[in-house]
Amino acid sequence: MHTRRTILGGLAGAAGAAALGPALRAQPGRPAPTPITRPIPSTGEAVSAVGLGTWITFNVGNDPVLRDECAAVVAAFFAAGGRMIDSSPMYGSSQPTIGYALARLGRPAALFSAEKVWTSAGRDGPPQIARSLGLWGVPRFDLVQVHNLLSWEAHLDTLAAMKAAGRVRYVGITTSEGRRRREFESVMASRPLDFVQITYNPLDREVESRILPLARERGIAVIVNRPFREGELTRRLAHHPLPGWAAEIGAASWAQLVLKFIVSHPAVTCAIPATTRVDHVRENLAAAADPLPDETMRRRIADHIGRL
Amino acid sequence: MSEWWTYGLSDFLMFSPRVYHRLIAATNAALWPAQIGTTLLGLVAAALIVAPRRGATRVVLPVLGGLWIVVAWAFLWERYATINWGILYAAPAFALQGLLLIVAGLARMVELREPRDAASVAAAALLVAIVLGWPLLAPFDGGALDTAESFGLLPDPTALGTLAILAALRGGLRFVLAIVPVAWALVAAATLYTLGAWTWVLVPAATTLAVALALIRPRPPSPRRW
Ligand SMILES: NC(=O)c1ccc[n+]([C@@H]2O[C@H](COP(=O)([O-])OP(=O)(O)OC[C@H]3O[C@@H](n4cnc5c(N)ncnc54)[C@H](OP(=O)(O)O)[C@@H]3O)[C@@H](O)[C@H]2O)c1
Repeated sequence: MHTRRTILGGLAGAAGAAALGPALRAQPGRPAPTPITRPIPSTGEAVSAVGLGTWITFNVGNDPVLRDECAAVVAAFFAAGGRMIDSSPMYGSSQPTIGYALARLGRPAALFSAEKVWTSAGRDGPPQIARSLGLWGVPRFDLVQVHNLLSWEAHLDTLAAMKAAGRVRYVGITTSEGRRRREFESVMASRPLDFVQITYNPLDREVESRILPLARERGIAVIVNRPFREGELTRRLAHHPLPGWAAEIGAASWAQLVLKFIVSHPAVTCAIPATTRVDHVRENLAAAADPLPDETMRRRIADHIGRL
Repeated sequence: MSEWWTYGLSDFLMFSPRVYHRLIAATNAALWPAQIGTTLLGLVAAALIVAPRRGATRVVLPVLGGLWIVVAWAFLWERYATINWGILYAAPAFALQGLLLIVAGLARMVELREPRDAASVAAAALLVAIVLGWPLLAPFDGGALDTAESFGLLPDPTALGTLAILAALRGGLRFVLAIVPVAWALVAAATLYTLGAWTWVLVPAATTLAVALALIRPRPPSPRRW
């Protein structure tokens, strides 16, 4: 487990990166390269292809040390060109932790706030969104998603009205690990959505057959959650050597190889790995860079990781 | 919850082990030296189970009830609920359990087994093991001593210690008083398991032992009524 010192060391720039290979090493005096962006189909607005999740990692309660560590992650995220931060009322204290970090950073203009509504009664949606706004300390969310399709009919009506009134910019729905796939597809096909959020990584690829093509067809942006299977994938891969061919696409770590696989899918807009570490957030943002894998290389990555 | 079969225990764990251990350490620092006092109270309760004194139940159960209310407020509501919204439901259950213990003790709806029998001696031994042993588990599980969990201040040893005390009682209400502690034991075992702590096995073991002791039929009370 990392210590506060390693995190602050990461903040200072050099620590940790040295172990990650040339692609990640800080270039003194040179700003970090800006990450690849993807357009949101409904407006063309660009978001960097790697964002930041907050499930578990930002649920630190009132612990002042851990809140500062999260704030350091957010600072490094914006410094590396990140935009989208994703959270939910379901994530315990993650929302106030984001609010704390944003306040410390003077509310970065680059922020693309992706929140969720998660309550079974439709009438509880608006007060919940209002509470979330207060916890983030922002006047308006860029995106509000119906979390895990919970009471989606009522919440999508609310969100459509909020969008029409200019009180939210984009509307979406989420699921994870392939749950409620049929229903998810039918909502995608029948309701106007700007975003969907689903699970996708070299091991969880069911969405390739229907949901990702449907998103392209309908002009819906795709957010990818659980890119590392909540860390289980990166922990497992750490026992194996990174294949030499990873360098061909500039991947200096397993995490980067996985992220490059995800964001190179033409339907994907943004992957949102969560992390407690400054060095990891930098590493993740740095994966949103050319060269990205072509179709042959994507198949190679999935086959290789599938065999390990 | 739709497609409930696709969820595992780990899907419900919403904080990391590090956050949980730091929360306990912060609670311990804020409440110190209450740990000494609650440990002594646990030991006094064990002594009274082995050598019942007149009116002991009227003291033991209300004090125990007070400790449940302390846990409900000082740990569950004030601290644990900040990282686990499910605790917003557990805290009132702990407070209710505290009130039930106070009422049951003051109204003598249950009594310590008297004369003491093998079951009550075993229950006292289990209580001592929990009160003295539970805080020592932290270092064995790779944690620092400041993450030690004390009876009467943190929920797991409080629930298990209470089950040991209930096993030394007679009166049908003892089973009603066991509902919240057993329910918490299930939550505690699941939490420790998903946090990767081997100590989770001790929770069902202590719970089963206490419930088994409680099921041993008490001898009829001695003719001398207190
Ligand atoms: N239904 C839904 O709406 C839904 C469901 C699931 C997730 N989500 C969203 O998606 C986000 C991402 O999913 P997730 O948090 O479940 O899992 P994840 O992002 O796949 O994995 C997070 C884990 O990966 C590790 N990690 C991050 N960067 C790493 C790196 N460069 N190298 C090695 N390990 C690294 C982190 O550990 P360290 O802290 O050590 O870096 C963390 O434990 C969530 O936070 C949430 O915002 C939404």
